Amino acid sequence: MEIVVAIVQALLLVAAAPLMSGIARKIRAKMHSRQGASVFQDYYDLAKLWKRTEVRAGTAGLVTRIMPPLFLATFVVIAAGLPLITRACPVPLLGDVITVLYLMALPRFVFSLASIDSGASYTSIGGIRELIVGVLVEPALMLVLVVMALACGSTNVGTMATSVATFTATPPVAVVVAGVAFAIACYMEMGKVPFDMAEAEQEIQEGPLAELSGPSLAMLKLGMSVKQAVVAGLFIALFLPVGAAASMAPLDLIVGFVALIVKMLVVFLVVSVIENAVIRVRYKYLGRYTWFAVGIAALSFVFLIIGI
Amino acid sequence: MLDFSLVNVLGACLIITSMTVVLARTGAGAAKLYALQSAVLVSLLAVLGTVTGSTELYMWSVSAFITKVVLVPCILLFVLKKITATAPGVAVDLPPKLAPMKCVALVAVEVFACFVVVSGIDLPTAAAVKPTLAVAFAHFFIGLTCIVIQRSVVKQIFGYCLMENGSHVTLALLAPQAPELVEIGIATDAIFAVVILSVMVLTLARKAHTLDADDLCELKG
Amino acid sequence: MDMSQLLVALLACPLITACVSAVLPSKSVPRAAFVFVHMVMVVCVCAGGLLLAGSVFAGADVFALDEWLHVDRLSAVFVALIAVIGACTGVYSIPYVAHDVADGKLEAGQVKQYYVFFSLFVFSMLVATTSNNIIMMWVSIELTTLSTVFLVGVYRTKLALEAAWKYVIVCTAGVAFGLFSTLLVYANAADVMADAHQAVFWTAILPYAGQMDHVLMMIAFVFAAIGFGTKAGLFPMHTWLPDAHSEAPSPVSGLLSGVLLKCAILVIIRFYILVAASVGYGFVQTIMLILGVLSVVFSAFAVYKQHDLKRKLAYHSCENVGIIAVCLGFGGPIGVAAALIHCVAHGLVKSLMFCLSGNVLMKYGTRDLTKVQGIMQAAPFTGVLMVVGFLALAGFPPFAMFVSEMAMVLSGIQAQLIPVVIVVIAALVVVVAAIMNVISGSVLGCAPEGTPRKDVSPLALLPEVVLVAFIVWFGVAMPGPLCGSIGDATGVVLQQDMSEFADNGLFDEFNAVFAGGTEGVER
Repeated sequence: MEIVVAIVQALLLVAAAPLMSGIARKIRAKMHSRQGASVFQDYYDLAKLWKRTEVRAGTAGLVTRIMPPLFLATFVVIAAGLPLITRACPVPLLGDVITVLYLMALPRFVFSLASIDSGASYTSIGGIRELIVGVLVEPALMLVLVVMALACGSTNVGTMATSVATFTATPPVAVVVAGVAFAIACYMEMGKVPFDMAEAEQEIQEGPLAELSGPSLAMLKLGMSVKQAVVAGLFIALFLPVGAAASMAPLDLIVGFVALIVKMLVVFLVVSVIENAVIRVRYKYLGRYTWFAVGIAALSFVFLIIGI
Repeated sequence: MLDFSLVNVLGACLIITSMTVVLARTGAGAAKLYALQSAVLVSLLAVLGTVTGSTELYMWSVSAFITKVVLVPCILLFVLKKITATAPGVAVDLPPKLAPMKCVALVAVEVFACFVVVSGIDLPTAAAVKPTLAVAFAHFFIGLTCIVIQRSVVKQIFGYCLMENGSHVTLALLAPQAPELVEIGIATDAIFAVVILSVMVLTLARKAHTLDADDLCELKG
Repeated sequence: MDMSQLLVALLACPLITACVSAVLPSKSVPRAAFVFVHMVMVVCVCAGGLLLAGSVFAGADVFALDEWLHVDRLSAVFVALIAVIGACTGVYSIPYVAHDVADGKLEAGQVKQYYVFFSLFVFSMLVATTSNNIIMMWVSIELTTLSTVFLVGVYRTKLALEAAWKYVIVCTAGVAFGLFSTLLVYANAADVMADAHQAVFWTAILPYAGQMDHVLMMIAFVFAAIGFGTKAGLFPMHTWLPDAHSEAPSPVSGLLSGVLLKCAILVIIRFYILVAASVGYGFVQTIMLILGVLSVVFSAFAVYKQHDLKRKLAYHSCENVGIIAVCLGFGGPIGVAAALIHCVAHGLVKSLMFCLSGNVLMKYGTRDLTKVQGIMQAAPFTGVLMVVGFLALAGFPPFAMFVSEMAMVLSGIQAQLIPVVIVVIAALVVVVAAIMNVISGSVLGCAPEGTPRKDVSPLALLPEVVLVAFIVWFGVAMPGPLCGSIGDATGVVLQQDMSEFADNGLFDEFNAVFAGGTEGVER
């Protein structure tokens, strides 16, 4: 039964991710007082891209060919393991916090590698920036996950979700502060404005995406949408396990499913509003914001130690 | 619910609110956030009074409400208004010397250090509230941090007020049965200090035309 | 008159005069009215203080106001110090303020501010020395800061205001540390004592000191040393001292340097006694030694470097407070006696020097030593007094500071901390060099062209002469009563009786040599 839930989860996320970015685009349009494209525009884009021929730079090698499918596949695998609909992980093997972090690091690494592979200047800049963002944001993520592991007594995301849902995670304030830090760090990880360092449309002409075309571009675009959904899902799974199914009973599952959709929508709504209200942070000031997130995570760690 | 764990939770909220006071950008904002922080302090005292069964703490939370939540922010807001009225050219809201983002990390380190120190103390009244004692202890150093990193002298007054808050919470935690006279004596003195500091700030704005601590460094050596 | 009534009256007097001066309008009332009220306060405080101190030395401790006030032999020394120096600087204020008004530096409103806060300052210092309630002790130290802020900044120039701001922020923040330590001691005492309401009184806490939590008392002492050490001017919390003492009017500087620092030291000593009774002398002595040596070494070089006369004297105060801390760090009967004698001696000498610096300022209009030359030629009486004062500062015999510095060396040797003694002596040599520099550069030599050979008014010279007389008297032959009282005070600090010092051979000899030369040395 769990495996069915896992597969359904993954497929759902893949299917819904372009819809999420479509909704974000619609919200931006409404905030700019214009009509904007349809919410399903991303689906049409993906379909159109899939039919096109792929053109690659002469110098590009194996990595560029492998990167988009690898990117997409990794995030689908992560999505399968997160406790989104249920409180416990559908696939416990994939639900371990350390596994999740490493799996998230893999596509980032390959992405940057591919960006250098083609040798174009803007692409390489984008790839390197992506790496730097990773280095700066991951400490906060890691620290929060360590705090949660100590507070809940296990590194399994499902166990963490269960203890937060039943209010058995002690100490409480440490968990709340960790939640705040995680929210900030997830926002940065999602790569939304003001932190979209890698694509940076106005600055480096879409960065690494410029070198891809056709199905590869489609897969990468889909993969990036799925990544945003997965990161949001991680935050929801850990800190907002409200309504997730406690058991495998069909009614619970349906309630959990509906709850997941509602939570995702709320999160994306908030994210979109923030995204469209600010401009991109200057690249060299990124450190300040990440330090802030690390600081708050450190504070939650201290609260954990002193037992508040 | 109404037991020592609530005291500890309020202690954590105290840290978070003091951090916002340290990071506040404008003087007026800092005054309001300080009022909020003092409100958390008052509730901490009230809860502590309920838990330890000490009526003196109730009296003290009332007087703390009047002095810290009402009087001190009002005095400071009044002074800020007077400065903009009588010395318009003087810049009041200056950015602090340490990047605000790094302050948070510094605060975390201070809290941790204080906890290490506090765990060596062996007092029966303090056993259940050791985390909050560490927090009260840390407040002292948070106030000191605020004084040191702030460029605007108005915000340095808030640092001093934070230090006083730390002392009061420590007293409440360690000696809940203290007679009111002790507490009222300390509170009155704190008010006098704030008044005198505010008068000094006003004189500085009017006669020396600057509120920048970096400007006030001519006497050296 | 009953002694406790005298104590209350002694405290009430400056408070009442401060209120009276505050009520008098500044514009319409002539300055003479303020001067009259001020003189009343000076005379009453001087007479009352000396009378009180004398009776405590002759008889028993005095309690007043339901144990809130307590004068034992230790506080009596400081009360007498306040009385004498307060009187001298109070009398000196009159010609000084008159000169400043004539010069245009002070207006009528500022004159009133000066006299009001002067009385308030004396009041707060008296409360600090006589308070038994530890919370009151802290409140009074805070009050001394608050009452002197406007004295330091009375000239309202940018530099004066800067000094006043630095003073108030550093001292209130530092004294907040002192509050913390007071609260820790109070909470601890309230826990171990049967009647928690008695836990505020120092005399009540002392017998229970042995039962208190050791870690808490050690933290309390460290905080007290830092907190009240800020007020006393110990390194590294001394940053406010040179600014505040140089920008304040000279009589106020004399009072600040001479007496206020010693009041803060007294509060530290009170904590020293409590914590030593709880955890033993080793810890408290180490802390005092560290702070003291750092202060002495750092300030000695700063004294050498300074060109501003009053800043030089202010750094010298830092150095001497360091010496007092070193004496307390050495401990033992000679060490503590040395600390107390140094409090008295340095108080007298420093207030003398600040009053003389006021004379220099009145004559030359500047504090810069490169511009001040040939004082002996231009103002001979002041010049002579300055030479005497500077030599006294350097610790030369036959002046009072020689006695205390000699005692410090002896106590260091007895405590077997010879390297520390050597470091301190080396720093003192640097100070002597600095002082010789000043004497040869500024006091002796030729006055600048066109400086009239005219000294300041006699009223401005009278207090200095009185102080010099005291310094020489204490240096040559310390009067028996004073020696006995210092001995008694040492007994209070060490919680022992004077007779137990008899088997401390070195103390006996020291007593014999320095207390009245006629007693001779039986060797």
